[in-house]
Amino acid sequence: MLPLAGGGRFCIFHPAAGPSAAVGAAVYVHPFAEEMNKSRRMAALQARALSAAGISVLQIDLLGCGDSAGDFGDATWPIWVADVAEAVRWLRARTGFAPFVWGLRSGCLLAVAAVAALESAPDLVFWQPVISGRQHLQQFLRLRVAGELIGRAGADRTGTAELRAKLESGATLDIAGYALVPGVAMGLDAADLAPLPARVRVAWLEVSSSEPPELSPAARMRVSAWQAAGSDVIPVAVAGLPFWQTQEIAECPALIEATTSAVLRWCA
Amino acid sequence: MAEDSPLLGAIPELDSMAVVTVITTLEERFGFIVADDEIDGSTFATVGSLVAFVKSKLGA
Repeated sequence: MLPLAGGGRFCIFHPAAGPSAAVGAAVYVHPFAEEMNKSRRMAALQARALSAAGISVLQIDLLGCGDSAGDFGDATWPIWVADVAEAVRWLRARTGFAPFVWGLRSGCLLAVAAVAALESAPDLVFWQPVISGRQHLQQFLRLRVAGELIGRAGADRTGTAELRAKLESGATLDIAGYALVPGVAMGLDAADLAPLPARVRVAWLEVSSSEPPELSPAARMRVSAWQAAGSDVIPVAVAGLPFWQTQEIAECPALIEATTSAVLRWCA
Repeated sequence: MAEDSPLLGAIPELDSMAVVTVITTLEERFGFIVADDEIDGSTFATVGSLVAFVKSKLGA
C-alpha cells in the first residue's frame, strides 16, 4: 500500500531478479474500467518478464480501482495523474533508477499527463495507446446506448450527446457497472496523446490482426508527430488478439517479447 | 465479401454490441469520432454502405 491522499493505493512490486544485476525500473499504469480487468494477466506476465530481465516493476491500482482505497466514483482525473507521479517517485527512491512509465490504453494518457508533474521526464512505453481521450469517453458512453444505435432513427434516441450534457452539468452516470463522475469523464475528455516538449524515448507498441502486423494509420500519424517534436520513438506492431477487450482472457506473448527487448536497449 | 454483401440481418453474430465493436475499431484505426446521429441501421446494411461511411468520415 502506498499511503496517499484519499487512502492507500494497492501496489504490486516486482523487484529486479534474474542472473544479472538490476538495470532499470518501470511503473505500470492500467487502463480504464473493464479494460483494466481484461488486461490483468498480460500486465502481470509483462511485469514478471521485466523483473526477470533485471527491471523492477511497480504496478499501482489508481484511487478507486482494483484493490486501492476509495470507490470508482471518488476518483478524478487529476488524482490519477498525481497517483502515477507518486508511484514514479516511490520507485525511484526505492531502486535508484529513473523509472520509465508503461501505460496500456488510457493508461498512456495518464502517463503523459504525469510527466508534467515530475522533476525529470521519464521514458515511456505505450501499449495500444488511446490517442484521443474524447474518443475513448465517447466509446464508453456508447456502451449505454448500444441497443438504440441500429434500432431507432436518430431523433428518437437518448444518445451520447445527452449523456455528455448530463456529465457537464455535474451528474454521475452509471455505465457498465461503473459510476462515471464528471471529475473523471471531463479529464479524460480533455486528455490527448500529444507530443511532449521534453525529448524522451518512447516504445510505441500495437497489437495487429494484419498480415504482416502494422501500426494503425491513426497511430502512424501520431508517431510521426512525436518524432517531429524530437522524441525518439520506436514503433512496433506485433501479431495478436486485442487482449484488453476480448471476451475470454487472452495472452499476447509477442507483445511481451517485443516490449522487453525494446526497453532493454534503453538499459544497456 | 463484396460491396453488396449484406451485413446487418444477414450475419447472426452482428448484434448491437458487435456493431459497437466495429464502430470502436474503425474510430481507433482511422482516428475519427462517430456521433450517434451519423449512423443507423442503413450504415451497416452492406459492406459497401459501411465503406462509404468510412470514406465520408475520412474526407470530412
